Amino acid sequence: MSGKIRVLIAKPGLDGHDRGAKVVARALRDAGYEVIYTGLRRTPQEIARMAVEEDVNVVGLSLLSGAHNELFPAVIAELKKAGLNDVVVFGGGVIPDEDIDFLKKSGLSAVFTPGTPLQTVVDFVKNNVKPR
Amino acid sequence: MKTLVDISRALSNVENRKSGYIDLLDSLYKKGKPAKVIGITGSPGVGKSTLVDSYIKVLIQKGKKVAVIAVDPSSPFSGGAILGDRIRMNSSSDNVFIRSVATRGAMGGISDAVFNMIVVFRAAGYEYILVETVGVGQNEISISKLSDITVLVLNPSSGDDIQMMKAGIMETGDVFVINKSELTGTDELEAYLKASFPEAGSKVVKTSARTGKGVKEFSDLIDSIYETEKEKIKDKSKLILKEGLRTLMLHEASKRVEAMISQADIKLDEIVEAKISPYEEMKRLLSEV
Amino acid sequence: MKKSDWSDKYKKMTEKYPERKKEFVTGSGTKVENLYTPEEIGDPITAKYDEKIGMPGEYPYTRGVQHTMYRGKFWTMRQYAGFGDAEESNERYRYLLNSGQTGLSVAFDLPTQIGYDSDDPKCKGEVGKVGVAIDSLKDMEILFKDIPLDKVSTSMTINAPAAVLLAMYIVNAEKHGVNRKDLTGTIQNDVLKEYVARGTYIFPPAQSMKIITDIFDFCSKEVPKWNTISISGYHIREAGSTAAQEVGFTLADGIAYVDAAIKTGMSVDNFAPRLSFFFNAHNDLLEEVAKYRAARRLWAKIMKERFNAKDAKSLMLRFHTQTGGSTLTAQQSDNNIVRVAVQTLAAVLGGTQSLHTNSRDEALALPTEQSVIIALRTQQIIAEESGVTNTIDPLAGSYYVESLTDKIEMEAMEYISKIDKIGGVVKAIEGGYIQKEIQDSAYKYQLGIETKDRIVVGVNKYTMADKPHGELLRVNPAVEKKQIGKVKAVKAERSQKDVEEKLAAVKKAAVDGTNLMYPIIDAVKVYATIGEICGVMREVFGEYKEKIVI
Repeated sequence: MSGKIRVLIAKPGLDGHDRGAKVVARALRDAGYEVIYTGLRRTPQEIARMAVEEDVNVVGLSLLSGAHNELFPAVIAELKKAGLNDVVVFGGGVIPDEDIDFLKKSGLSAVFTPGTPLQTVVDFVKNNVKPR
Repeated sequence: MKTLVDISRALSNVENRKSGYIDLLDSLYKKGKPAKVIGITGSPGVGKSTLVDSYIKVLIQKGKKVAVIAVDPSSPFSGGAILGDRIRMNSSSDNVFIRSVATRGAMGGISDAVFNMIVVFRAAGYEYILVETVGVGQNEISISKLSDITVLVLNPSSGDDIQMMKAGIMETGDVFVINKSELTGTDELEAYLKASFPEAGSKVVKTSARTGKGVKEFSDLIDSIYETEKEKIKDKSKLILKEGLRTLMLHEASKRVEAMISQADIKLDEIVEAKISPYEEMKRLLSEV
Repeated sequence: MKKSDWSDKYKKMTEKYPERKKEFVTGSGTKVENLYTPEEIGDPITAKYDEKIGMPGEYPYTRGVQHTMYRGKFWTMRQYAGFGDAEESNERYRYLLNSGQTGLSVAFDLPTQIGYDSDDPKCKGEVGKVGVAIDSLKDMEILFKDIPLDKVSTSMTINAPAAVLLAMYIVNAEKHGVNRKDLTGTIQNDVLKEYVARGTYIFPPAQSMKIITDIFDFCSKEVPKWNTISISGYHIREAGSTAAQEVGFTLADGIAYVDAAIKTGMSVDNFAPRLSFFFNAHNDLLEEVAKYRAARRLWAKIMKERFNAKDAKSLMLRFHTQTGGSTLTAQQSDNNIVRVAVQTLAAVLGGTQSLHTNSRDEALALPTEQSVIIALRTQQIIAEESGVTNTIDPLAGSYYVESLTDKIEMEAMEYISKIDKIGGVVKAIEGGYIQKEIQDSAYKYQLGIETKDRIVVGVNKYTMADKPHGELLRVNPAVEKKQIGKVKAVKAERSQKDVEEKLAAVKKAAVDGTNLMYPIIDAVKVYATIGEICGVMREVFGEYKEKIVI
């Protein structure tokens, strides 16, 4: 029997905007996934730790404070350090197009910018994440 | 199981019943060390997670390794879940492992995989295993079948206690915690508990989990029960094992029944023609299970 | 009230706020009266008008809190700004003031808003990104360099550490010869909405309320022209609420603040005149206008009937507005200029006292100079060219707007009653009621977009391959390093002994429950940092732990 896909929706750094993260979490729940939402003000280490404990298949990072170029790669580094090499990571928030290349090179599989339909995020998980 | 990732993967494997999981559990069980399994339940909002968080801090200070299984309901519509209990618990110490578990449509609210996950945590050396869930429906009863000690968390003047009493749920509590005990109604509730529940009524702890008041007392009480009621704990562990065995066997049995129904050569035509009854056919198939 | 009686009052008011022009006319030259009432159109329902709608500047203030409104003076054009370090932001402030902005609005970065110094490891990557980095009085001195604080009013969007920033503002002003009694401005200082919509809380609710009431008390004695709080609905709306929820939850927060202040022994008329509000200007023009009118009327009734306020100023809901950031699109971003223009109209037709308009590029970054100028010009064009400022509350009497005003007032009151039943806002937050309501509305809104019941032009209709947008503002990454150096320099140059002494006094006040403003001012004077002052308060008050409701 194959398992359920588990998703970690995380808010790295000090940003307090959680409308998007919560709406995405809900949409993923409604699509049948098990979602752990980290709440606000998580450090990259805390996010990686939760990803390990919850054995998630995918991590979604939400950030609207402009600190994505520092914090997203930091999370990926912590995930690797914690021994998670097969976790899919995507990001979203206030992220200019010109930063997406850099973020992808840092290890993100996708970046969802403002206006992205929820279905796009759900489809991304469906098509790119397989149970272990 | 050396690393946190190993433990985590093992938990997933048993939760998802990945092929070979029974053998894995078999070997892990034999490696298991004794652990205190404590169930913590109560209505939404009474402060379970805050209590667990404070309790973890007390245990960590004593140098203990603590595992927490936080159970949240799966959506009956989509099968998905939002698992948010763990946020109020801080797992910043290396000696704490917090894992969220969805009910996944389990009858009685707690997935029987939790029994197996406890085996994993035992093998990994966690001395305290806390199972925390919202007390809704039959959850309290399910949790009491898994735990050495069941803790019911209440709030004063909430009226929930009356509801729970009606459902016969209070009987499952071994220890009562009156959280938010700084509010009025605490003394009345304590008196009611002492009067109505001879055993557990003597084990009422008043806490104010947000400030940490009463939590050390709670921790000491739990430990003392293991010290002074060894026989009861032993009997309870046997009950837990029996219950665990029952669910394991029911699961295996239902798997086989499903397999039979889909694969076996069932004499459907004869049943339709009333040459034999479904009941005879059932007896025949069962004898082959 | 007969129009003739009101006109007498109006005439008196013009002594203080003379009319902007000798004669007001439409674009085509027709004379525009200062006010239109049922009398002008022969409408017989004058009784209902008096009781429900009333005159501008008269209870229940549905039509506006001043008699003269924009006939005398436009709203304050106050663009929220700040990024990088104090030098860069000071430059932007002087640019905006020179371009016709009439008040300052300071945006602080997240470390400052959450009471951390720029060199705190938690702040990596965040310094100077969403606002200006302020670590100590030194930064404040640079921020307001060459800005006359006796002439310019400053709004500071700061909540949990508002006491610290207010202290820095006062000390800096006094260093430049401006008496604190002459200072005008606002601090947002509204912690309740932080817990449910904005997320920059520090301490738990009860302790935070104490700090807030300390500020009310301090200002009523020392800084009488200062708006001590900006009770905010903007963020609640941005988090996904409906218009009625925006009003309901905001006014419920207001009730909580008034209750808290009264509990400390202040009499309502001592502090209520200096309470102010902050609302969103969202897409639906007419609904927004109705919303502001409903909010004014409801608050006036609450202050009069629930709190027995006697001073007319205590009954007046004065508010700042910001156009809704969440309505901006990254796609075809120039369209946002149009959106903001419509939202500006809503705020102006709704009678706002002060307005910030968003820039076209803000779905992607902080605004460039070019973009922020367009946003400011939007306000100026509507003020000077559109004619809507020639008469007061022009939409009054519209069947739609009046009935919508009534509806929103009623729905908002239902939310307030519900919260009363739960036991007040703090309990409602602890139980997650407010958060759940907001989240449910947010999810519904998003589903509406997904199903195209709700159209967002350029996003789910009229899409096109996007032209590359113009240059975006990028916060200089060197700012973080620079600011860390500054903090270290400040710490090296000051008297450590003095700092420790003053911090101990802050701690003592926190423990004893005496007014924190006084020791915080002393600490700020000796260049204690915001991280140090808030750190001491964190030790005593603890930190709030988020309640997750999805």
